[in-house]
Amino acid sequence: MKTLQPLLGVLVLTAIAAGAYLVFQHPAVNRLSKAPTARADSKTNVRSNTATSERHGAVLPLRSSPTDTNTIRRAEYRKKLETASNYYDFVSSIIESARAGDSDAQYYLSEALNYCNRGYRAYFERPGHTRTVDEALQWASVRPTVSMDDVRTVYEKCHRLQEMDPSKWGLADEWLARATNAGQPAAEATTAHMLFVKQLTERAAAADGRASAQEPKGPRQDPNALLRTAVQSKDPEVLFKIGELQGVLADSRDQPPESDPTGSSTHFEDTLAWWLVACERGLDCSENSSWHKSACTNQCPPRENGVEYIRRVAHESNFYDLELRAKDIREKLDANAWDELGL
Amino acid sequence: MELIGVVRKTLTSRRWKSWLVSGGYSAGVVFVSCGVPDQAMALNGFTQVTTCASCYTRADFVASGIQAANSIARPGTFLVISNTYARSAFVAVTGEPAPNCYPSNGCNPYLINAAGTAETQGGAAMTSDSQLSLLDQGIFAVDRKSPTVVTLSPQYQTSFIGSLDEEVGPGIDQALANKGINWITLPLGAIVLVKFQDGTRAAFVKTNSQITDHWAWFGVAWNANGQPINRGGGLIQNPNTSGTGGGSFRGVISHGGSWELDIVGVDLCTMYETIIVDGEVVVQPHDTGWEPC
Repeated sequence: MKTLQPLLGVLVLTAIAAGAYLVFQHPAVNRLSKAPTARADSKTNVRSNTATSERHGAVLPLRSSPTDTNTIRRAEYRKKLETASNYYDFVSSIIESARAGDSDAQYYLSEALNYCNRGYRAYFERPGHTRTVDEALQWASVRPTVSMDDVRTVYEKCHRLQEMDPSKWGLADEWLARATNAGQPAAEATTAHMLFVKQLTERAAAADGRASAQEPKGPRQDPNALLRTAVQSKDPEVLFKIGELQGVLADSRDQPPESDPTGSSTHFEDTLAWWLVACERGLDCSENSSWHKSACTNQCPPRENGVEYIRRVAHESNFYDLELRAKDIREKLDANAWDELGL
Repeated sequence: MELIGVVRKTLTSRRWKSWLVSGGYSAGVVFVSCGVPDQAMALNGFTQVTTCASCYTRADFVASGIQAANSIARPGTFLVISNTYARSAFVAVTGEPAPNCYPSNGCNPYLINAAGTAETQGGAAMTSDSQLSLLDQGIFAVDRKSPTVVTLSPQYQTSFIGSLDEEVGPGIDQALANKGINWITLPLGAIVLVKFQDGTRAAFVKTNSQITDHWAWFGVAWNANGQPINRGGGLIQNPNTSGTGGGSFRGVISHGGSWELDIVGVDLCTMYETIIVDGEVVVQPHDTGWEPC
């Protein structure tokens, strides 16, 4: 037995070292630990303290590192997608996992394909003609609300993918449907979003005698039910999408707003509160994050990050109120009070 | 009180055009009676326009529709518009007029076995309360909570006809920015009425918060003559089939929007639509609207 003790000690030390590596060096966790975060996920045993995140300019408690393997895997995929400079390589790297049934790979595959489809429709594809990158930049240069940087980014990330036969990868909507049916939370929230958009655009589709362009596939067709399921993951992407959907969610509630019958002034504040919580829980809210770039197109101060943006925009309406709303959302998430989140 | 605008939509025969009035003041959540009856004869296929003080859910609208049908002892389709919230519903009411019940014999006419269903403009049963807002926006062509109208710079697109959302969208962002509005601060589902250089008009809806592709046509547009058109510029056929009908509605709602709706139908149904926001005529029909029946 004595001979085994040194070996046991080595094993224990190795296990501690591996755990420490996972917590502090794992790419996904490392990225998340840099984000301004708040609270402990209920599934995790977390340490927390308060500190100022200079990167995000907000005084927020540091968040725990996720130990749930699904959370880590999703964070890895998300990180890979966010940092990919060429989506052909990204798609190539995950296509086999997606085909093998990995719902996270399926979702992020659909995200990459959707990003390129949407970007090419916006900047390059016109009836009977596909613009060159120079033509697209020329077009953008006389439209102040179009970001030339985004035109370049879409081209750089997508042109190789767009030049390929799309049947090689499959359709984005089909991958999304598979991920949704498998219960991937961000996929569920994205499908819910598509279902709401379908309602918003079906009148146009009918006027033009065509099917809705945003027709989601798959058997799960109740957007509110999808969101109620998705939010239980507490996935930051889900929280962000719920924030984005506040306008239509308010319309789907069976109780009128208490203080403001029209509700129009409260939607964006609710949106910002959800986005703030999403940032705290690991969403990329850096100055180069995609959502922050969308919000800012040529309009934000240099080096402003997402949380700073939220604070600046909310300042007019009262940042203190926003914090109260965010606190309310945090508490309900932490208490697993799904029925009280207005979904 | 400050005059902030009027949105007026009229389904009427030519002979009733003189009924059109305008006006509207920012006065919180207020319904303004316009002096014309708020329930008239059936529009087409017995469609009638009625209002309710504070309908919010589908159940509220159905109850209001049944009440309206009972009051005239006649089943049919009722367009019910909330005075307080930016919500509307078509309510299809069934039932049989009570036999031998006439005011002359001291009986208030009513329907036996009256039942109702909230429907979309296409006649399908509504499946969620959010469709009440969508129908309201379809009827008024703007968001009654906050009517927003912009003029598109011709450098983005000169006409709605044959346009692409991808070309119009950046122009909407620019036009909103010119008004001091950042598009991302508008809620998903927000409606913006867009005026084009050639006189065409169209409503667009915000569908997401991504940098591209966040505006989509909402399905409502007019040519320079105020006639409803599709994306290709073709006239949209009058969905009404026959008959007479009418009703009217006019109101003011807070947050910078006031609007007006008059619906009167007689023998020749034609749709005329006038929209005025912030004192500016946004849609003004010249000669013909939707016709013939």
